[in-house]
Amino acid sequence: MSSGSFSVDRELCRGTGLCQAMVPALFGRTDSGYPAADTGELADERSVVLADEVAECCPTGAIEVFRHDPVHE
Amino acid sequence: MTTAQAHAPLFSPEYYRDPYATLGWLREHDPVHEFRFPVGDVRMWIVTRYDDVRALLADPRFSSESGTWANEEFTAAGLTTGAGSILEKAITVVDPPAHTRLRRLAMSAFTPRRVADWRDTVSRTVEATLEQCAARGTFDVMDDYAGVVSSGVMGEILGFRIDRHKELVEALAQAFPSDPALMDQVPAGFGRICSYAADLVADKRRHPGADLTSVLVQAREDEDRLSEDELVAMVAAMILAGSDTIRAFVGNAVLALLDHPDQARLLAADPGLGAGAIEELLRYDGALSAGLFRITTEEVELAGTVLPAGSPVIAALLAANRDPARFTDPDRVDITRPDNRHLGLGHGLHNCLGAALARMEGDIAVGGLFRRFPHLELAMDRDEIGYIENWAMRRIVRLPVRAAAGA
Ligand code: HEM
Ligand code: SF4
Repeated sequence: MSSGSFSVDRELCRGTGLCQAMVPALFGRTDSGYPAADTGELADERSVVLADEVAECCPTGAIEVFRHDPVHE
Repeated sequence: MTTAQAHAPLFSPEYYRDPYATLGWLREHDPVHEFRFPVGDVRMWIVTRYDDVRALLADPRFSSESGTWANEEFTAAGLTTGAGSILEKAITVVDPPAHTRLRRLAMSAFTPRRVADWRDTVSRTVEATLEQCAARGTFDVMDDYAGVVSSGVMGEILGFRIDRHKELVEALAQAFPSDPALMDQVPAGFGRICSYAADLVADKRRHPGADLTSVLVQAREDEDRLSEDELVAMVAAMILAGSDTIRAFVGNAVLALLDHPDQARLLAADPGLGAGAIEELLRYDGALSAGLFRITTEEVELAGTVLPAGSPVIAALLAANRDPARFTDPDRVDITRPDNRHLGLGHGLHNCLGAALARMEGDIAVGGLFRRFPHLELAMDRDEIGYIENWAMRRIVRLPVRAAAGA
């Protein structure tokens, strides 16, 4: 059971390469600068926090992070 | 590097007039070129190919934090940005984790909603300035149009009182002089901007408003907020990064369209082409010739060249954006160019935080000028156009135009 997930809005994304410069393990390392995948699982709490930080630094607001709340599952 | 070369040496007066000949030669023959920087005669490298520039801007081994990583020669020459001032820790010149923290707090103020609200401010400022220019008949795009719009918008967004706008324009002129003889005034200009930022922060703490400064004062992430020094540095960084860049960009864009009248007509006829046109103009002749200095944190091999740890490296955005390996017919302006992922607003961690505002303001200011004056023409000899002698900023000194009334 993962702790969360993220999605990238391709309409908004400008391929700035910021997300993969910050956390390559989550956003992949592509030459183009666009994230490797449109969605991804966040295995643990640490990944959720990291993804959140990236979402807040993204210049276009293209990244959304969803937290799976273990308490209410 | 003693071979006779047909192009001007880097950062010489001829280079500033036409950097593309030199940059094009380097891109083809010496893509990671070692040279001596004119200030302090410092050993440096300049990178000119699109793929290499993008790769280095995305690579954490190229640090923006020259205060921490640069070699002694660089530091001794006084090239560390903001050294000895609060700007030393500004968002532009720190690495993660400090960078992540500052960027989150700053970015939280640049919500799509807030940027959309600024559209009114920009439109009003542009309209009022166009009115003044129309009354003049002949006017200087740099001083009478782009400079008035860019500092007016920044002043209003940050919440400066109108009666201080003029001082801000003067301080900016001092911080980014057009005349090389005034270079010794630059630190004083930066100091003035920091002191305006400090006044503004103090003022907005007491009387918060809807402006960006007030939002930054209140910005918080959980228990984390900007300290007083960080706040002042952030506001100063916005002023420094977000006004003269726009001014320079508008000037370059207007000249590019005067040089390509078919493209200017296309744009004036269809505002729907504005967004694509701005991307193309940012690519064709953007405002920042290069990113701020990057420093290698360890020995790095880039495109076959070995750079020792602590080496200063210049990422030549202008050169990358004209790389024929990436862009078809790169020296032509084509406002409908597809797949235009240029580097004019940077790349990687430090990519332009104000990009949404820059694009919107550029679109309204450049498109607005050509729609208002469809028969705009240059009022000086094309060959006489000069640029400020600054390695990082490409800005025209004077660009007089005639608002030929047309029909
Ligand atoms: C057409 C106008 C503009 C151009 C061409 C431009 C270009 C750039 C470039 C190339 C960078 C990256 C520098 C580097 O990698 O060293 C950058 C960063 C930055 N820009 Fe812009 N910019 C413009 C307008 C603005 C505006 C309007 C603002 C703010 C209101 C702004 C704020 C910033 C900030 C704060 C950074 C540093 C971001 C960071 O370090 O994370 N810029 N800009
Ligand atoms: S940081 Fe945002 S805009 Fe940049 S590549 Fe990632 S998702 Fe796209």
